[in-house]
Amino acid sequence: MTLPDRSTLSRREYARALVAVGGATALSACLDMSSDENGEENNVPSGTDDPDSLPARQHAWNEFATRDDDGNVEPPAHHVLLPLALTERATADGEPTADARETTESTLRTLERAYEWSTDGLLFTLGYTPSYFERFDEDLPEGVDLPEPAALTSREDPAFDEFDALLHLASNHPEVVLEVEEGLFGDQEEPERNGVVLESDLSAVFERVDENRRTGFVGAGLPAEHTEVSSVPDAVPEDAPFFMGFRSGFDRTQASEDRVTIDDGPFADGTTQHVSSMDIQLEVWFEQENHYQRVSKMFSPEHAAEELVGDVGEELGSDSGLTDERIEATTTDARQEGVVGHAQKAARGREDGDPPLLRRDFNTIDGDRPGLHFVSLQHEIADFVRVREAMTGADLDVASANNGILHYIFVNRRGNYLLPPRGFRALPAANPDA
Amino acid sequence: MQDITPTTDEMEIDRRTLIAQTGAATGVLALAGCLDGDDDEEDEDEDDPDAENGDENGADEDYGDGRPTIEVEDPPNAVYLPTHREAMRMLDPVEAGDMMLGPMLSYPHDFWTIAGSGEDAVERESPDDGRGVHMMFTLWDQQTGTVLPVDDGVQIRVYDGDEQVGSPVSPWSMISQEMGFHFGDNVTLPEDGTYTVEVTIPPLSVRTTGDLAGRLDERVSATFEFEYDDEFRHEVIGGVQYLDEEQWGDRDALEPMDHGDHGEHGDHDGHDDEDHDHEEEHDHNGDHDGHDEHDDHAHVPYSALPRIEEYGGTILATAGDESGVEGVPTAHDSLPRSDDAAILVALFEDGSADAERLSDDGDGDDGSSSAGQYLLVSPRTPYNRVPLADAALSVTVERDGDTIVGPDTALAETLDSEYGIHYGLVVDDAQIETGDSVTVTIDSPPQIARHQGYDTAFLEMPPIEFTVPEQ
Amino acid sequence: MTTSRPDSATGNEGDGGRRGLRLATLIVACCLALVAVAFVPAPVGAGDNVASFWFDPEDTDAAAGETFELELVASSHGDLVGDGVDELAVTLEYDAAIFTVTDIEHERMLADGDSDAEIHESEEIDEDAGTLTLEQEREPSGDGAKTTEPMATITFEVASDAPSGNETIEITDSAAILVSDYPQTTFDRDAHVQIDGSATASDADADADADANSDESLADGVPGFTGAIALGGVLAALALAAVARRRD
Repeated sequence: MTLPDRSTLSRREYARALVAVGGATALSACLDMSSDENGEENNVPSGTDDPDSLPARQHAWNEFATRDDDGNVEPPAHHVLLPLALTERATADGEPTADARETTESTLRTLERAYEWSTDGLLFTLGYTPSYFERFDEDLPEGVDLPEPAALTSREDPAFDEFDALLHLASNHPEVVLEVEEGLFGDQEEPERNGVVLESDLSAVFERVDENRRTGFVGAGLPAEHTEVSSVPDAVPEDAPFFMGFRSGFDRTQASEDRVTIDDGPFADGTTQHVSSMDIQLEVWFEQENHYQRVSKMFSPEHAAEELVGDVGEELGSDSGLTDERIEATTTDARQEGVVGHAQKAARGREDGDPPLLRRDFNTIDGDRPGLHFVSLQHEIADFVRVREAMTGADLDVASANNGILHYIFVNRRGNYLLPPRGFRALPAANPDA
Repeated sequence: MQDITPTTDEMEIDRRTLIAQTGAATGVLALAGCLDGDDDEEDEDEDDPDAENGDENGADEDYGDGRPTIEVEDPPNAVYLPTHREAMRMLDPVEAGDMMLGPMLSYPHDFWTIAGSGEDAVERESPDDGRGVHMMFTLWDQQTGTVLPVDDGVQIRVYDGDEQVGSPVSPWSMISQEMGFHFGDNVTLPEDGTYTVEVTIPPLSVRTTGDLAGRLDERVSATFEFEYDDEFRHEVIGGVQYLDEEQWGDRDALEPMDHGDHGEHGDHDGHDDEDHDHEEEHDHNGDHDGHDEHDDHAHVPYSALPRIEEYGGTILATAGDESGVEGVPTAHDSLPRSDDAAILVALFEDGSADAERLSDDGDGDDGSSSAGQYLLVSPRTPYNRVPLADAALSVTVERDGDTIVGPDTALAETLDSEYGIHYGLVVDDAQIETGDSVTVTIDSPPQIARHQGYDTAFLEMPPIEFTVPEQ
Repeated sequence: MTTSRPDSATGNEGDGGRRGLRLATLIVACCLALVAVAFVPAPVGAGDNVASFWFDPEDTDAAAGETFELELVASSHGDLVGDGVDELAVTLEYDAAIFTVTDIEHERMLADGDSDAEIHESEEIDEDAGTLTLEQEREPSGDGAKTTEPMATITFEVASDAPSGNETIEITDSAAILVSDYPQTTFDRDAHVQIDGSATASDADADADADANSDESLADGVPGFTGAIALGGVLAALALAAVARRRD
């Protein structure tokens, strides 16, 4: 693969592009860039030899992240989603072997020794698809809702993640996600970090499904740096943390980690994950809509009329300004205003006023087109489906173009995963208690 | 882009031959005055601060700002004549399941999108890039010929070979005077070539009746190809016909274009096509008689609604609206207008064939057994009878101060195989009678994008009161 | 649309000039209104906007055996995106028995906004047919030219045996291509030359009057507009033909 041309890109843009390309050469370029800047390699805090000191939940990220002035969690900046398919030799009679389990667990422990469990070090989850669990005779235990992925609107025709597992790597350091991937699956010399050599036989257990490898980024200003990419218009606001120009992930619009965690059974402390990948039509969003129209469609017509949002959402503090009245007004807004907001609609999927989803989505330029990898955690997949149906708003009497942001998003893939607790993260059986 | 290569004399070509080959005649524009290099000092070279030739020009060698600008100045808050007729390349219609899709391509140009009803809700869209096309298509049902005038989330993806060009797009549902209801957007194309367009059409979600009930409920797709090259660009620019400047902004509309007609003027009944560049002629009904003949499959149908006399029910009378029109409308011209939208209201009596058809959307909820009267409200453009879709309307029926229906009962947007898109109500728990007052309220105006000439109308639409006349 | 005028029109010129002036004033007002609108919204463009070509002066007097210069002025407002034109082409037609083109000086209208831009030029004269085709291309295209400036200065010589009369130098074809490769619709206005025939060649005063009074030229110019859009022929030539000669 060809590396991006550094001379035409900002540092962060270059880092994004390197993560998107991946591989040993990208890693080496990334390390060069870091050492150029600091005179030495970036200091990435090292991990721990004591696995018991780490949380039982793979998805326990929030307390290991920084928070902004409004108390919102600042998600890691760089993300890689590695789709994995079990190799033949990792299974016997269709089921994973004890060796394969051990290799997987020891690999993940190596990562935990090399990097601090934090956004400044490395955060990761390893999740498993319904296809993976089908190989077992027994079913998933009661209380684990993990259906096959399905198309959720009449206008989409997505492909489905039918491989076995997905490793989500996240860090504020681009070289960390790159070197982990390289250490696990590269054929070059193993990278070394904090005195830990990232050697692993994981490639004996899993093959990367390269065509479905996905990458991305989040953070203020990052989307605006991608205006060199075709289809990313110059109009993306400088401060905007997401492509569509507004903040997201307000603390009070996010489910807590407790809320999304499975409470009992063998997979207690696990959760479910939905990953959908979509194109975003940014040229139309930014070039053809004015700010008023964008705010109406992203939040609610009232947000636009009362100027509640600010340029990129900075006026909103730690919630999206969605009062019960604004949420309830969705149906009326559809008729009276001719337009409804995305956030307003989706909030109709709340239960008892609590948001059911913990979003860990990030923007992407995979395929040289702007897009979004929507990663969301919830107690059960049905929570996601309910919110998505509320967001689709097929019940609303409103033109498709004015139905939130539906006009601008094009879902290409969907996948459902179980994120087991740390104790069962290595090739779990469908029902480990059985 | 052609390469610009310094050449030798033998690369010269006979330009007159080329002129002869391509020198197609174009329109005439009465812009004489505005071509005149004016002598005003204020506006010269505004966007040309570093005009290096300036000094050479001398005091009385002022070239002025002789650049004619084709723009309707201060258009009325109504339907108006734009500056020109658009030219486009019509491609052969392709099948998309039970539907047909007629692609049309023009040059990238401005249009207006609507999200809501206030002033801020309207945005004039200019192309992102001068390179590319304004891509449009009309969708219609093969069986009934009905043009599908609703936005359900159609998507297009453009490919150059196997490579996808840019992001997918949900084209806007749009109305234009020449093309009626269609889908369209400006699409940037990086270079000349042959492009493939994949269009996906989700199931129709609007309420359907008649021969459309229970149909068009599957996601379908269609593919067409087109060439983007000099020939195309010259064709769509060269074919533009400018109206006389004095007509720009007049309260009128261009007649529907002759879809699928190759070169010759079609026979618009009631139209004098000889005089294409001047008067917009109306037939005796006061409207433009479009191409509402759907039987010729080579042609792309125009989304004209039926004429007033084609409605079987009772046409409601106007109760004296701002336009001063009163009584039962008998021609398109005499329909009351709300922000220049002509509003036809018809009442179909319980048991009539129309009422039964219109009450039965195949869902069984309000099937013919429970049918009552059917109240049909049909807002349309004032000259070409293009339906105004994706609005929200409600109705209140009163008699001697008592509310019979409502207040503000929502009407359901409905696509009927005979009466097209309209907003309807099955009246099954009351009876509307002669003398009742029927107030139609437009909760939100048609949320459809517009070409020039429709951009200032159908936005802030006041309610209109009708009365049920003597049978 | 050439209207022949009586040779003895001199006596009426004053009145005619004033009437023409009033007309011209109205027209200028109309232009101003349009221009004012045009500067507020996004630039108006291809198909919604035109390029135009005319001569400066549009009306001139010349005596048999003399030479005179006409500036060929090109004007474009650019397109909806705000890009201008990077290629121009014009074909002129004139009575070869009366006029000979003796010099062509290419000017730099196309270099608007980038004084370093090169303009590749070519011209082709058919002396028998009485046609002149000028072509220019800008390199690099950049944002293109959006201005009103001369694209060339052309020197004509009047035949020494030319009879008195009103001659037209007609723009029979013209093209302006935007940076986007889209052509612009073009409008052309012809030039009119009042020839002092060989018999009255010594009467040089009329010449001086005409040159000194630009209002008259302007006024006279109004009815001279042909109103025809010339688009097509030269366009293709532009698109296909490589530029033949570069300016020294």
